Amino acid sequence: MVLGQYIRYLVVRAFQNIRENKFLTVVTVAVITVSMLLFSSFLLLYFNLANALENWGHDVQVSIYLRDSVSETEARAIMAELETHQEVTASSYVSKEEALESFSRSLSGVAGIIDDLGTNPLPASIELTLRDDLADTAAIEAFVDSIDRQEFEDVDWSQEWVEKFYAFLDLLRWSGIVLAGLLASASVFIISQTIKLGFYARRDEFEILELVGATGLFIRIPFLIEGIVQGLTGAMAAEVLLFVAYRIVHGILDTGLQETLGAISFRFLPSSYLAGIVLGGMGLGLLGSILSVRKVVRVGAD
Amino acid sequence: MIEMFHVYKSYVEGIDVLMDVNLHVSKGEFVFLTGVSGAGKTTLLRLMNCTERATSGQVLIRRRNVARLTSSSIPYLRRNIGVVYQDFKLIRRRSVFDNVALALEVLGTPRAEVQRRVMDVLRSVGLQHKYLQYPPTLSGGEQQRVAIARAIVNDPAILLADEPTGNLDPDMTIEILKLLMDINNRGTTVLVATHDRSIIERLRFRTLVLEKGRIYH
Ligand SMILES: Nc1ncnc2c1ncn2[C@@H]1O[C@H](COP(=O)(O)OP(=O)(O)OP(=O)(O)O)[C@@H](O)[C@H]1O
Ligand SMILES: [Mg+2]
Repeated sequence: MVLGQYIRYLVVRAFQNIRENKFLTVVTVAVITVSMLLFSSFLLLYFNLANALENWGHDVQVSIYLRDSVSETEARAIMAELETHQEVTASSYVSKEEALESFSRSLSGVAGIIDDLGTNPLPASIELTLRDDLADTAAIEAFVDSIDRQEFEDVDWSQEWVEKFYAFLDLLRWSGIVLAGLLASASVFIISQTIKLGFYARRDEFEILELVGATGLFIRIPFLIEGIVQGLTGAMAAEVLLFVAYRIVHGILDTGLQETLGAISFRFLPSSYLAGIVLGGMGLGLLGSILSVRKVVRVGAD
Repeated sequence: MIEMFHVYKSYVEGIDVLMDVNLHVSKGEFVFLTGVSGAGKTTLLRLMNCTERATSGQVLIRRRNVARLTSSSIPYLRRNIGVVYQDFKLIRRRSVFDNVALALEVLGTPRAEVQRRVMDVLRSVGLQHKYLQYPPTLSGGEQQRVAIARAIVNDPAILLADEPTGNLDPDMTIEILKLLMDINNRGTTVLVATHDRSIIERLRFRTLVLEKGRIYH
């Protein structure tokens, strides 16, 4: 009962503060919005790249280049044996001629150069498709090592590409963490400064509140509520802006790139991320206000 | 209710504002505190609601030694003491209603009751029609009455009034004194600091005289 009344008075006071300090409130919310927008755009980019990797990574193709001394019959025997591995879902044999043909087809410009060579420099190969759930580079590597034999000239599973992509994603994740840290501390600083300004503007009020028997919490909590409300508003504004930007970019991708990129889809952040951003915004607001109102003028108490 | 033993107070090292003050105000009493300007009346009241601490000596409020109160229990002491400040101490940005309501809100009083009690007390000080105005738009006497309303709205055990009639005309002075006596009749211990001899002579309550920091009875 009494607690409910208290909460009511504290919330009313928080909104009074906000109304009386419109300019500071707008500045604070704008700062939170900008930093949350920067961070969540980053998150959106990361989320989509990670997603894409997952999609591509599923379909691991291993190319086994055979020495020229290996005949097709021998190759097919090896292939039959490879298919007994549970990691392998499909396999096919590509002869030297087929390799040259597809090479010339994909790079028509250089076909003439290879013709001039007189001999076919491309090796025959066995193409393996690995199981979907083998997306982990370490697992692929282990498998590839385990099947290696002396008939193989080289085994290539677009390893470099996947690893570079993973490394890039790692880099992205770390820059994201650093960026989040910087943005968060900047926001907390600015929130605490603006709330402090509002706080100093009310010093006389606190003295009077204390004189009529208000506890320290009664005086401080409205400022904490103010911080949380500002954080919440900023985070939600950032999400709305991000969504608008996403729709625009999505529209561009739809008309142009989407065809070329095929299966890759550009998706918006899932609701769990959105909820996390809102909570993060509220947390920043709360932290900023806690930092600014730690000390309250105390009348007569030392 | 209020007791002081050998109380000394100095704001500046070496200058005693209060010297060896001893007093006892019983529950339900109505007492005047008088003395020339600068005698230390306000200082004495400040010691009672813990806005200042005695340099030495003991101050007991409701048998509790205020020097021993922790800073977190001071608010609870203050809720039992209504104070009319000489300089009113009203919040300029809050309406008359909100200023008075504050004393009840810190107690967690339900909204409907706040509404009723604030309007009642404003009526008793003759300001019910000004409840939406802000302190800067009121006359000195009106602000003083808002301060009185805030001090008595929660029926405190003790009422300390520092020059509560300082800005009032004779008619309003009588009104306010009646109000203070009313509250006193309902059981509140009242201590009124004033240098207005006429009201002290008219009412004939016990009077404490402060002279150069010492109490004379
Ligand atoms: N915060 C302070 N710091 C230093 N000196 C102070 C302070 N407050 C009061 N004094 C001094 O203490 C003395 C007593 O002041 P006080 O306000 O108690 O007098 P008073 O009896 O209430 O006077 P008045 O009738 O004018 O209100 C004065 O000499 C004053 O200058
Ligand atoms: Mg005084």
